[in-house]
Amino acid sequence: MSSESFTAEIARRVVELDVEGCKKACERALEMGLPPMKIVSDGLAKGMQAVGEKYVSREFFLPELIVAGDVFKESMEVLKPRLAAGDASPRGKVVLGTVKGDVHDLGKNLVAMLLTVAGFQVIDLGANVDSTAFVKGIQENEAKIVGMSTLLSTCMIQMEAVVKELEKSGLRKEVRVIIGGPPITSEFAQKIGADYGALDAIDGVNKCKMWLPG
Amino acid sequence: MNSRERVRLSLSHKEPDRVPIDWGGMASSGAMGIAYNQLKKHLRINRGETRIFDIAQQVAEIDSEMLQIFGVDCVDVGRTLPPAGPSDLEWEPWTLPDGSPAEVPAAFNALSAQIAFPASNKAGGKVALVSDGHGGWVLKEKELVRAIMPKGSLYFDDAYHPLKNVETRKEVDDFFAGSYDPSIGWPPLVSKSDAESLRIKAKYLHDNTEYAILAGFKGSFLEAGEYLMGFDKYFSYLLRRRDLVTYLNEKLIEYYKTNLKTWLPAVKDYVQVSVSYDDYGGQEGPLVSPKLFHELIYPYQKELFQYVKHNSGLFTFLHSCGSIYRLVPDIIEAGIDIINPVQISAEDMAPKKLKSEFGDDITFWGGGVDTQTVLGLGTPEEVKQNVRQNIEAFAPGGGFVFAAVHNVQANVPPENVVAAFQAAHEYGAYQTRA
Repeated sequence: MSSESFTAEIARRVVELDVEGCKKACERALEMGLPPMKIVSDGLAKGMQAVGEKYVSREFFLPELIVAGDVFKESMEVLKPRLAAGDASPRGKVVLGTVKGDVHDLGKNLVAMLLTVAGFQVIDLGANVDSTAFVKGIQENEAKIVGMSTLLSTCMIQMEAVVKELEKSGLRKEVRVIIGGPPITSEFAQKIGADYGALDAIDGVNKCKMWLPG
Repeated sequence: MNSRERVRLSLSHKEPDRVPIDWGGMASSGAMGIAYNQLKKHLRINRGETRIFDIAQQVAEIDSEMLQIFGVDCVDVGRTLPPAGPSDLEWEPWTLPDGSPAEVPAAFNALSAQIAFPASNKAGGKVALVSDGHGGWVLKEKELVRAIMPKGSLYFDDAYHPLKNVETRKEVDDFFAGSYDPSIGWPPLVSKSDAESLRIKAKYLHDNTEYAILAGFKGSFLEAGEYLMGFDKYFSYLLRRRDLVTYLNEKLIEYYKTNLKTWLPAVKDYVQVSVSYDDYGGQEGPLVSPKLFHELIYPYQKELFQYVKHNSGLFTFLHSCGSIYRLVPDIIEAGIDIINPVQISAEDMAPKKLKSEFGDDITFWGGGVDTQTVLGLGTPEEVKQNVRQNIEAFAPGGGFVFAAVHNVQANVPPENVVAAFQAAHEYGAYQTRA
């Protein structure tokens, strides 16, 4: 069996949402000597990309995305011990958080997972994050992208506060600002001076990939 | 024509004198306390309580003066302010996140999915509202934190999921065995004495007012699973442990029907609409695939709503946020007469599309004004035009009750609230509509 066959099977298991099958396929690929990073990039990541496409085409829904995340996470546990430090060359760093006043994090967590799969290093600040914490996270990590999420239309205004704080600190030109969540529109993103308002998690990740092609 | 008749005609898909108006007839058609206080200030009304009856959503009861000012046609059977009869609930002063005053229940009983039920008296309450020590609030049962509202937040969110570690049917059985105690169960099972108190309340409103009366009962499946297991686990298990979720649904329907056997006889002769809450939609589509909904949720919703229909003459009302267009055929088939809040800004939920495809078979209770953008961020004139367009789409032939898409949120300027209801009256008269 060629290495492409192994990675193709892994990608297929991801799309089929087969947690145990994917883990076993990863173990078999490791036994056959495939480099772990190749298993991640050509197997797991390709599979997750296909999952994303199915979500955008409305064939997959939230449960499928979450189980795909389970497949990825549990397969990564199989691969992690064999991944050498420096194997991963991150595309760049992304600071993520749900804005102040909002404790919902499902959407943000999905984006974090998808960004990690896509090769980004994600610094997840959690939920209920104020503008000072966002700026601090960007400064400390020298992040090139900041992603803000909210479920609540009452908290959208916090996103503008973060943009203003970035301007005040002189960082605005150094970092791309992407926002997302159900109430977010491209008009709102433009109004507050963000670089992009994502339609959904997949759209947001694709935009980040455009900004930092790697 | 009185309010009750107006609503009844519209629910029967006939045109009354004007489009009926709901504001506060159920837990998702009212106003947050912050917005309510701002509105009262705008109208220079400095009397009456701002009573937060729904602590999770921070929603206030609409008092009788406001019901009259805005020409509202519907009330919730659970209301405690006039025109409701006497209530034995205790209330205590509280401060809303914007610093304005309100009242909250003096104590709470068990929490269902994001709803805390007020205890009938402080001594009997098991859950208390306490400061978190950092400017926010928690709902606590002794040392167990059930829900949190951190500083800067405007709502309570669940912090406790009783079945977050569930893996076996036995654990589900054990949970429900404990839950059948009316004082700790979720939702609280209606005891015979509770049912009698409810019957007296319902009869009082029926005999002493002309409002259409709504009564809410617990009947969620998706929301129940999210609360019990936590969102991530439940949504994962919908696919990975379908056997367990199916078993949970079997226990839920048994629990709900047990409750209905006591609840329904108490209210059916006095209220007009029975209300159940669940959430099936997101911004871009259903939360789960239509196939999964049909196989795993629809059969139980059908059993629940057919039970209500066969055992009462009540209209059946389902609250579900989000884009549910792809689920509406199943919702109609399940025996649901009304959907709410009709989130017109979500995918596939444009008013004309909904009315043309489903208008003969379902009533749209909501969809009156877009709350995601227009009501909170638009001008009063934009609000009025949005209301006009939505009424034009939804009103013909009846089958429409005007309400905002969900509760008026804290960020809504009072001028916009006034504009929305003014427009509902201005454009809602059937005989003079263009």
